[in-house]
Amino acid sequence: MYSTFMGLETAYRALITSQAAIDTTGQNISNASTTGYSRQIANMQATTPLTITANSKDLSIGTGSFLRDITRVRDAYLDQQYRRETSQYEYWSGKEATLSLTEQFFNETSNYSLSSDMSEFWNAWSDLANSPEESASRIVVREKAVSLTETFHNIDQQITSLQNDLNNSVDTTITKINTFSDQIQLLNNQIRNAEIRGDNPNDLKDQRDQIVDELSKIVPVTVEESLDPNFTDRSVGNYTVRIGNSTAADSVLVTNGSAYHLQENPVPTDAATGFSEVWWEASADGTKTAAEVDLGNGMGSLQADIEMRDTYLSEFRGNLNTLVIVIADSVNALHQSGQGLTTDTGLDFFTSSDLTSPITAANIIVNQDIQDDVNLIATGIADATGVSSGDSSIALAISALSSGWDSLTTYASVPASITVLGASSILDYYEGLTAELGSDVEQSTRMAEGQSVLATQLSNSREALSGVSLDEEMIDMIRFQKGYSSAARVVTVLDTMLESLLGMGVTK
Amino acid sequence: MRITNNILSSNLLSNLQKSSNKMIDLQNNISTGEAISKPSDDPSKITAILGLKTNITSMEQWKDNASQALDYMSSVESVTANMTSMLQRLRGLAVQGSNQTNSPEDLGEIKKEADQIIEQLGVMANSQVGSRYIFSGTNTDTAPWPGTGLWTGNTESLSVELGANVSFDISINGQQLFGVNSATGVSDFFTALNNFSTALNNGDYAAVGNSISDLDSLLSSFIDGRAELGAKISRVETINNNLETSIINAQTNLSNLRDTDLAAAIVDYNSTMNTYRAALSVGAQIIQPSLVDFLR
Repeated sequence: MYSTFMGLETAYRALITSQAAIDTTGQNISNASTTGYSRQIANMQATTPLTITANSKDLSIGTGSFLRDITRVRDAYLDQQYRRETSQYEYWSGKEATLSLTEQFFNETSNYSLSSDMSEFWNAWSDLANSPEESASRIVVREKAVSLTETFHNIDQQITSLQNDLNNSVDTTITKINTFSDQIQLLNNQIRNAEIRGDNPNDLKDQRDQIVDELSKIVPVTVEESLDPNFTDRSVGNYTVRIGNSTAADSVLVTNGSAYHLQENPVPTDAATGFSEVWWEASADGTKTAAEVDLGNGMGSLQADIEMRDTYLSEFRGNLNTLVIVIADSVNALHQSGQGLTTDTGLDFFTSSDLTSPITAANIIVNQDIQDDVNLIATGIADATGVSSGDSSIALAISALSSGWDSLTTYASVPASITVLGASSILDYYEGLTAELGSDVEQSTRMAEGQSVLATQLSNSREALSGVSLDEEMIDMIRFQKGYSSAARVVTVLDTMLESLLGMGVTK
Repeated sequence: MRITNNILSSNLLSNLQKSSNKMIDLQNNISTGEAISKPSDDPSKITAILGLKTNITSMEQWKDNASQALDYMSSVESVTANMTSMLQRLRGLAVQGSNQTNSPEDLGEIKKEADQIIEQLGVMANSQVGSRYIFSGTNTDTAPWPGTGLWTGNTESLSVELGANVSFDISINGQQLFGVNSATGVSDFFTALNNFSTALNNGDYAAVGNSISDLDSLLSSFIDGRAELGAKISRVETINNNLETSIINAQTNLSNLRDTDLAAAIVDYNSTMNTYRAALSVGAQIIQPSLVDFLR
C-alpha cells in the first residue's frame, strides 16, 4: 500500500514541470528576435513508477513527471553549410566592392574621363597641324598633354590608396580574428565547466555559434565537435574551430581551452609592396609555429581583400603602365624624328620625372624643356638646312596615332613595346581594358547575387528549424497553462478527498 | 517548412530591398538619360560606346580642320583671283601699247598704270593669310620674295588632317605659279613684268608686243593654279559634308546603344513601384497579426 499523500506529490511535480515549461516558453518569446538565438524545448519525462502489489500482481503506478533537460533546436550540418555559403558570399561581395571602386577610376561614360583626355590630346595635335607656326596651338598641345599625364598620376594614386586601404583592412581583420579566437576560447571553457556539472548551457552555445558565424564572413571556418570520452555519465563536448583550408597541416584557431593568434608578417616576403601577409603567431607552448596561413580558395572577405590588393590591382596598374608606355613610346618615336620652330631635333615629348627610370603612369611628365619652350614641340620633319615652320607632317603623324600605327612606319621605326602589345591601336587596347574591367565587375556582382540567394536560403532553413514561432509558443503556453491549471485542480480534488477522509468518524 | 516570424519579416525586408534597388537603377537611367553609365552595366556594349565617342570627337576635329582649310583656301583663292585680273589688265595694256599709233606720251601714260599694277603684284606675291606667307610652301614665316627678288619658298605641302590617316595638301605651288627656276630662284613672272616695264620705258613697240605672249603664259599658270585650288576647295567641301553626315549617324548609333528607352523605363519603373507598394501593404498585414492578437 502506498502513501495517502502520494497524489499531492504527483500534482506538485506537475505544477513544477508545467511552470518550468512556461518559463522556457517565456524565454523563447523574449528572444524571438534575438540574432543567433535557437529556440529551446523543455523536455519532460515521467518519473520512475512505483510498483505496488495488488491481488498478488505487481502494478506500476505513475508518480508524475519531471523536467529532464532543456535543449536547443539546432542542426550542426545546416550551420556548416550556411557558413560555407556565407564565406563565399563575402568573398564575392568583397571583390565586388573593390572592383566597383576601380571601375570609377577611368570615370568612363562621363565626359571627363581618361578616354576624353586622350581624345583631346590627339585632337590638339591635329589642331596644331593646321597652324604649326602659331604658339597658341603649341600651348594647347602642352596643356592637353600635361592634363593627360596628370590624369595618369591621379589614377595611379587612386590605385595606391585603394591598395593601402585594403592593407589596413587586412590588418584590422587579423585583430578581429584574434578577438574572436579569444572569445571562443572563453566560451569553450565556460561551456565545458557547465557541462561537467551536468548542465546544458544553451545560451552560451548560441553565443559561440554566433561568433563562429561572424568569423565565417571573414575566413572559411570548419567546426569539429565531438564528445569527450572521459565522461560516460554526462555529455561533455570537445570543440575545435579551424580556419582557412581545413586540410592544411595547421589550421586550428581554437581547440577547447587553447586559442591561437594571427599576426601580420613583420617581414613581408614581397618587400617591394610592403603589404602585410597573414601569418600564425607562434604559441608559447610550442604547439603552433609561425607560418603563413593557408586561406583556402575563393572564400571569405580576407581572401578577397588580399587577392584584390596583391593580384588584381597590381595587374590593373600593369595594364595602365602598358598604356602609358605605348603612348609615350609612340609619341616619342615620332617626336624624335621631327623638329619644331628651333633647330633642336631628337627630343622626347614624354619623359619620366627623374629622366632615368622607365616611364610609368606615376612618373610620366611632358619633357620639362618642352614645357618651358613650346617652340620645341616638333611639328615637321627634321631638316638639317633649317626650319620650315609650316611643315606639319610630324604633328599629323602623332595625331594619327589615335587610330593606328601606320604613321610610325612612315616616319620612324615601331617601338618594341607596341610590337608586343598586340592591339591595333591605343584606343583598341584601352577599349579592351575597360571592357575587361566591366566584365570583372559584372561577374563578381552576379556571383555575389547568386551566393546571397544561397546564403539567404540556408539562413531561412536555419531559421525554420531554430527560430521562434510566436504562434507555436502561444499554443505551447496555453498547453502548459492548462497543464498547470489541471494540476492545481488535482490538488483541489485531493484536498476534498482528504477532507472527506479526515471527516470520517467525526461526530457532530 | 516551419515558418517563423523572423522568416516572414526578413523575407519581406529582402524583397523590399530588391524592389528599391531596381527602382534606384531605373531612376538613374531615367534621370541621366543613359542606360549604360558604368562599364559593368554592359561590358560588351562599352567597347562600341567608347569607340563611337572617340570617333565622334575625332570627326568633329576633322570637321573643324576642314572648315579652317576652307577659310584658308578661299583667302588664297581671292588673292590669286585679284592677281589674275591684274595680269589681264596688264595684257590689255600690252595690246594697247604694242600699237604703233600710240605717241610716246601715250606710252608714258600706259607705263604709269602698268608700273602701279606691277608694283601691286609684287606686294601681292608676298601675301599673308593670318601670319602665313601663302606662296612660301612650308617656309610660312618668311616672305617668298625678299628684296633680292629671288624666291625663298619651297614646294613642300601644307597638310591638314581630314580623316584617319588622310592628310590633305591645302597649299598652292609657288614654284609653278610664278615659274621659278628651281636652281637659281629667278622667276619667269618677275622677269616678264620687268621686261614689259622696260619695253614701255624704251618705247620699243616690238618688245611690248612680245610681252603679250609672256603675259599670256603667266595668265595660264595662274588660271591653272586657281583651277587646282578650286578643285581642292570643292573636295574639302565634300569631305566636310560627309563628315557632318557621319557625325550625325555616329551620334544616332551612340544614342541607340547608350540612351535609356524612356517609355520602357517609365513603364518598368511604374510596375516596380506597384510591386513595391503591394509588398508594403501585404507586409503591413502579415507582420502584425499572430496568435497573440487573438488570445484574450
